[in-house]
Amino acid sequence: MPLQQTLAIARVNLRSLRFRLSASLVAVCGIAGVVLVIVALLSMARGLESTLRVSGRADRVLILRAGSNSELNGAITREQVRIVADKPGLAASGNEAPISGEIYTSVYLPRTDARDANLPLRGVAPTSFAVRPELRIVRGRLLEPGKFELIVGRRAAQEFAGLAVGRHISVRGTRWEIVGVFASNGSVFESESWADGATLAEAFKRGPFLSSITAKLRSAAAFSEFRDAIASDPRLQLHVWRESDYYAQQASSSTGALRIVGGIIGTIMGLGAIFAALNTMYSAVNARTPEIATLKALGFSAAPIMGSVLIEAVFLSLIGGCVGVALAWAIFDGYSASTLGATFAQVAFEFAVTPGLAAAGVGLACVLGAIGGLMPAVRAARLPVVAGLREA
Amino acid sequence: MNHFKLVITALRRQRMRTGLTIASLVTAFALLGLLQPVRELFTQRSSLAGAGRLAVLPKHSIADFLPVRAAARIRDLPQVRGVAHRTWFGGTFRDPKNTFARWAVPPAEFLALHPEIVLSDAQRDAFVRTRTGAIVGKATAEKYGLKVGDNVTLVPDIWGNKNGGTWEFQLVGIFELENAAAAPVDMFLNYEYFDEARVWGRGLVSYITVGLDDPNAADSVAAQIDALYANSDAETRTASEQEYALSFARQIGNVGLIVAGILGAVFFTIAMLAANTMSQAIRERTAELAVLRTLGFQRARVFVLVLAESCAMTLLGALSGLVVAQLLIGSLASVSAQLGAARIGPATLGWSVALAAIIALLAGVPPAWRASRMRIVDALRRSG
Amino acid sequence: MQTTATSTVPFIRLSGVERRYRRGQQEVPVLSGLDLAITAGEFVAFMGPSGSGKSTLLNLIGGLDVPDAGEVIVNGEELKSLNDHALTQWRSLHVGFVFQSYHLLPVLTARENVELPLLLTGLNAKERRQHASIALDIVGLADRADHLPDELSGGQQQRVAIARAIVTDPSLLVCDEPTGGLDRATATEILTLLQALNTQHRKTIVMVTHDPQAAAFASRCLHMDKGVLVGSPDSMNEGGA
Repeated sequence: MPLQQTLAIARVNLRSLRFRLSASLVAVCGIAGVVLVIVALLSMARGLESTLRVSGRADRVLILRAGSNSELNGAITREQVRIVADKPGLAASGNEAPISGEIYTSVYLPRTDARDANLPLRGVAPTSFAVRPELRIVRGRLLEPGKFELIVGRRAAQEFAGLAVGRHISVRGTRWEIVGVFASNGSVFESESWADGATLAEAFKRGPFLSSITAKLRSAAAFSEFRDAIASDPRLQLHVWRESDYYAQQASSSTGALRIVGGIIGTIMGLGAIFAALNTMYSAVNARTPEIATLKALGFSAAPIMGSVLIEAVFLSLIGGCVGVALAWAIFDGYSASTLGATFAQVAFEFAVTPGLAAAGVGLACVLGAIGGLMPAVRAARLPVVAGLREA
Repeated sequence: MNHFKLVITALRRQRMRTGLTIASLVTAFALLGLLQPVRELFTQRSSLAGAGRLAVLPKHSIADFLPVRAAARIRDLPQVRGVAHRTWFGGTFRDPKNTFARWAVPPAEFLALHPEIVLSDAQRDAFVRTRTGAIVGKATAEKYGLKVGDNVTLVPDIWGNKNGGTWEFQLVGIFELENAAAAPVDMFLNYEYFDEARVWGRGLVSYITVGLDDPNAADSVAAQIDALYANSDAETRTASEQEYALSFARQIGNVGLIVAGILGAVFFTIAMLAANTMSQAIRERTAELAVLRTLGFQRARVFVLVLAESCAMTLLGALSGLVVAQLLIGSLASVSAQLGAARIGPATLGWSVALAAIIALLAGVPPAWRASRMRIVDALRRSG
Repeated sequence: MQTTATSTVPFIRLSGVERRYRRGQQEVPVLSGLDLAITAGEFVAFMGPSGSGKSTLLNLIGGLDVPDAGEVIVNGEELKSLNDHALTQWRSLHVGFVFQSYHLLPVLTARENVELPLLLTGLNAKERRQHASIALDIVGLADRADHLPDELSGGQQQRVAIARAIVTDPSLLVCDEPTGGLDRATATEILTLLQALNTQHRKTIVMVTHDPQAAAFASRCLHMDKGVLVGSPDSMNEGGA
């Protein structure tokens, strides 16, 4: 019975909404705005995170010099690569062990949006491609060892000016030709450019030192065996990361700051939206005072009256939430951006307004609306009948 | 009782509605006060970097190096007052999570070029003379309980020690910074000792700092340096220290645009809310305003009264919002020390005044106009 | 009894006054060719059925409205010739209004309400307070000066309204159903007060009422119907009672 009453009153409410249009519009816009901003910020974080997470595999390891927390500070020798190649746990494959010692550096280039930035440049070994089977060429061809050739990731080609097959870039007095563009499941490698490691080392006079070792395990379960073998070898001062763990950690530290900032902004905006909703609902209750008093005089109890106010509030905020999510999706989903990664070079990613995020946005809107409707609903329930009727 | 009081008491009419509108204004301006300084940090020159100093970086990667002999060559260029260099030491101090910057520098030249580093004469001397000397910023010293005379042990990551194992330095000084915009956090180590003992990379430095006789010569000296090393294996990218900090911030992303977008959405909504409130409020008080007209208040006076009410409401919200923002800026420090250094400066205040004025006008002018143009007789009759 | 031989020129003079209101497409005449003369110091009551135009007449006399045709001359001033600015200023100097629903500002105290008209003068704060106190004394509400309107009874609120109407010492009081919402005893108090203001303070009062007992307090009573004055020519043109 109370539910029926509530719905009956609510139906009348909503029909009379057009008389309170401007005030209602304010609440809808306020909530839409909050949801838009929060979903946009979170989709930024989500996009960055997914790019990083997809980069790491559980059956691959990344080996850095002990104490380093990124490929930037590596100082690994080729001798160490040979020692590591003999350790148990690596995948079996033909003649060459699935292990590659790589050089990580970057190139300072102008970007398409006029922000100069660092393009990661990875000097790879011939085995690098076997170690990373998810990589495939989408334009042009693979580079050949011993030549001044580059292949660039799909996202890097988008973000930086002049990175197309057949073009050249000049680095430290040497000229490199771009021979291909590659994709790799939207991972962080798509923000990089790759060159032949040996040629790079000689051209840049880097001496014998490598930045990192990447290797393919026999299986994900072989990780502990491999790691222990490395740790117990006194010739090696190396730290072994499961690749998926390494990128997961990067993801959380990159997005951590963004989430905190988003949280602070979101809280403030949420408060503002609640105030807007409160304002709208209080004025709705005021405008309907004679009507509410009449309902009470007729015998409707407090609960359906309260319920109807809450329904109106949630209804308005639901509209606002949907508008906000729709706008966020239309404007931001798939939007390409890039930011400073852990290695001080650019990581390109795409904003991702996922269904989960959309649902969260709408849910948030309803919560804000319910909070904003609560006190006015209580006021409506407590309205003194006689005074209310006199106002009619 | 005067005109001012008339305006203020009018605000007390519908307390709930006015209060909520002011609360919304507070949140909008709190957001402005919080985000605008952050935006400034990312897009404008901060007073952190020294005026008139250039930073000479390896062109392609901050992980690259420059040869130390480049410093001597640069010193000979015209307009150059002095040079110093820094090398990123990295390593671990006690716990890998303790991330404060650790650099190897030539003590005498470095201190000469960085007058903002405040150190007692005795400690200054000690740093120059002590072969394994190190100085650290006051904030870090306090955080880890370091005192002058303590041993500092660093576990290497990039730079192995020829003499095996860890690096041992002696803390000979604790410095403060003259510039309040930054906190004294860094640690500086003696370069000569470091250079001799490191396993590899002899004579390599991370970047070179150049002091100028005349700050206006910055561009030409920078161009000279980059030309000197163009197409060599030590290509350089020279810019003022401020510009370097700026370009770094730019690489994080178009923060300015994001902030502007957020604030735009917020203020649009708030302006709507304020306008709605004011017009409702005035509509309910038509009879009162008509009475003022009967008393002899001119149309213009009534207009100004209503507009003043809108301005008072907006001003109250704006000021309170900025105060709240100032309090919240402290909380940004939990995200990063840099963000915590944001300050509400003239640009933020300027934006606040402008936005408050726009909202006050948008919300106040239409009802003020309607109120001043109303026919007295109709307005009185409508409410008995 | 004639009022004092101050002048034969009427204080208030209306000739051929017409006023029409537009309702949708139609124009409805409210006053059609009204002539009226009131001498200074009179207390005139207008009575008549609703729609007879009495409130419109009051609005014209008080300068709240402007006729479509004809002249309205009050204290030598031809009101139609004044623009809105001048008319507003004229009102502040020469007329005090008393309304049926008091129309006090609910957020101001009694004293502050009375001070309102003084904001338009050049008096300083202290002087304003003094004048307001005097006005409140005259209406007998000095002890309630710091109360808000919703803390006062209907009669007390009306007294505050009257105090506000006289605080700038205007020569004319315009009262539109001043005792409309009041009980008999309170109404009598208010009307007595108005009468005192007329006889002791020489204020000319024009009052609209539907209550014959209220009209009895006036020195002259005029009846209106369908926009014109009804009754003998003598009673319309002479001051006398």
